[in-house]
Amino acid sequence: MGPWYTLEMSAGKDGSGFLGLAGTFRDSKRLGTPLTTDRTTERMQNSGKPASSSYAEKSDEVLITLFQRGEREVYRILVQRYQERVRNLIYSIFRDPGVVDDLAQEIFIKAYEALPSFRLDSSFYTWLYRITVNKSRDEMRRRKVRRFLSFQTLVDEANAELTSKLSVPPESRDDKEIVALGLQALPEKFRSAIVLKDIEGLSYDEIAAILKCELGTVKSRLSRGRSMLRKILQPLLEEN
Amino acid sequence: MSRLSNDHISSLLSQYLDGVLNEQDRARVEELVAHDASVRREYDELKKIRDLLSQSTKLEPNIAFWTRLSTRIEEHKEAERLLPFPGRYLPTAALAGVVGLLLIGVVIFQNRMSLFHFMSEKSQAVQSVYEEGILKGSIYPLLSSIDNNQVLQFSLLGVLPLDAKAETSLRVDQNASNGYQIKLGKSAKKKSKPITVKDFYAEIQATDKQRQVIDSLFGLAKKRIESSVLVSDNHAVAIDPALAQLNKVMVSNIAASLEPFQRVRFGHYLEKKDAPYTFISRKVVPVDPESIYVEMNRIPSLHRFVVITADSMTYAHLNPEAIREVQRSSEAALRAGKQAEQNLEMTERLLRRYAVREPRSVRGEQIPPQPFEVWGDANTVGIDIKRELDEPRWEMREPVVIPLHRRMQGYTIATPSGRIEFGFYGDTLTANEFMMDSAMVRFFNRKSPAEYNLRTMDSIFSSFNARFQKHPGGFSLDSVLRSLEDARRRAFEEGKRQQSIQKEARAKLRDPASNNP
Repeated sequence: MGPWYTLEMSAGKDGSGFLGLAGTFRDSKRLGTPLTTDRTTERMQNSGKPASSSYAEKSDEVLITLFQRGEREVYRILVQRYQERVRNLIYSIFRDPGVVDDLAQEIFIKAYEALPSFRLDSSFYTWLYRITVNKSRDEMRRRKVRRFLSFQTLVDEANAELTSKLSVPPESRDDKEIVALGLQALPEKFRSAIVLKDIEGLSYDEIAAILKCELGTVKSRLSRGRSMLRKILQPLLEEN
Repeated sequence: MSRLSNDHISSLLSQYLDGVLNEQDRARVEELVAHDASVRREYDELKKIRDLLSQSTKLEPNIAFWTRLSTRIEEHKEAERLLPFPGRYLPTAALAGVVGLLLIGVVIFQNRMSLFHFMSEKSQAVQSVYEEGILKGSIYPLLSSIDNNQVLQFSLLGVLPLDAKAETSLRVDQNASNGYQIKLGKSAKKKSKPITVKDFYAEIQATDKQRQVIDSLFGLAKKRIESSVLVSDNHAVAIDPALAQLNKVMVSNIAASLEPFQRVRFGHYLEKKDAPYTFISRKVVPVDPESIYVEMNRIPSLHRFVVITADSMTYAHLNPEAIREVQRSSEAALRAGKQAEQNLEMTERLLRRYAVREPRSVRGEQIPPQPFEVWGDANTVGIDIKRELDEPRWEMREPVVIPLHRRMQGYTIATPSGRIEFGFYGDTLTANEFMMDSAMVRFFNRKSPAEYNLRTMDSIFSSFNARFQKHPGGFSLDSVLRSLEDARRRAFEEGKRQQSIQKEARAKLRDPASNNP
């Protein structure tokens, strides 16, 4: 063998041989992060066990109190408890899967911001539903403005869609879908009341708390809304 | 009974349906329904509508909801911290509020700007992934709660189960055409027994210090794996092709941290588990663990991803910022706890999506000179990576890792001062540590060893008047081991010699008497 292995290293000292050479073409400046100070690794190891398992059985009120004392991680439990209900509530109001997740995220962020000042004077979900209904109302308003459409146009649109659905032969038709669509033709205040009562199954008192109105108003909105819906869905009802 | 108005009847019927009427009103409604055909009809219709509404279809649960929300809450907190005043002073510091909002705007804007690289490829597919995925925060790692056992399994076998029952998995392999393959889908029928870190440590008799080193390697590999397979809500999947080589690097790094006798055990262990790689030169002294860790941490990434959507694919640059973003959400997911079921569900969704697709249509969309091919069938989504892919150079540690059952390609360089012999296993250069003249440094500073053939080697070494010749019949493992040992011995002797020269010199300095008799 020729002398091609030029020996310019001092690594031979400790007997580690040519391995010490690695440093000559690897950037030696990189060395120096001590193994033990890597926070990421620590964090990963520590966070393996979720501390939340004990929270899962706690009531909303307990979790909110904990949250207000600074244990922000309990928010996950609250979100997971209610995310599907909120998503479905939005879905019932809009009947548009495209809007559900974005709006639901906004609602839970809003709730996260407002939760520190929530005084537990109503139940958490009533409060959350109120935020949902308000945010949905904002969204409807935004859509209306953005699309430069009058409400009547929206009603007409929903009706047109409804008519086209109704002209499908009855055996291949989904009545549930049509009723849900018919609901979209109602003005917002009637729609919300009906969604909360008939889809969510809430009581008059709860609905009054969510919509922030009198019990009598809930009664009349439900009654009027249902009458309107009945008129809109007349073709479907007559067939049966 | 007095005549009631229609509105009043509707109202009573509505309340009757809800069961909130008092005794007297309820009796009245029941009587009306029984005796008045039109009221009866109205009641039936209202009831039908109510019943249909109560059965209305529900949405499918969103499994990624919290992951996404927690990221947004984090961002929110971040933005809050940027506010120059504590929240309670905000009313008196309206200006500060405005500044804060501006800052939030800037932060968001910058994040988006940095993602624009992602769109540098003109592909419509990338654009839609970008727009629908990242901006809305709905791109997230497919793997976000893998444990060390799984990392070990991936490192040694190149297989990462995606669900608890290991029915689906992520697999990487060297494929027949001398490149790599990444597969995501149903596991092979033959199931390997799960490997656990505990057994592994017992098998190789790891010391506490070594465990610490290897554990931290797992931590790094885990991060790497997590940021290498991303999925989006709209069923796009992005895979960093460099992932295909991670297991090789891990075997090499684990081996490097072990004592010689442990390496022998490790080698046996790999064989027993039918691992795709083993390594040679089991006698080399362990490498300083800190340097392993630091270098592993610095494994280069080109941040280029193979992005596959349902009907198209591309090879796109994903900005490191974006990956960090994804990683943050991954950590959030980790905090949220186990996600194995979610992984499974996600894979199934992907599979369903790809199962209906003809492989032909995938290739049809391909931009011609792509260095990889994507294919899919009912069970698997696969990426074949060819050798030309400009992949990051993974530096192999001593001991060098080689694929099992592969023949080495050997080369000889004749220089004026002598001959160098070295070989490749696949793209792994076995002799990369002991050839240290400047030509070799240049050689290794070139992009990818995969690209070398005789001609390029010739041109690199032309200034040194060296010629490459393909070694007839390649090298045997023995000769490589011998040359490694030989080089080591010579280095050691030279070191000793240098030491003794220095010692002598020092002794002379310390003892002027010997200089000055």
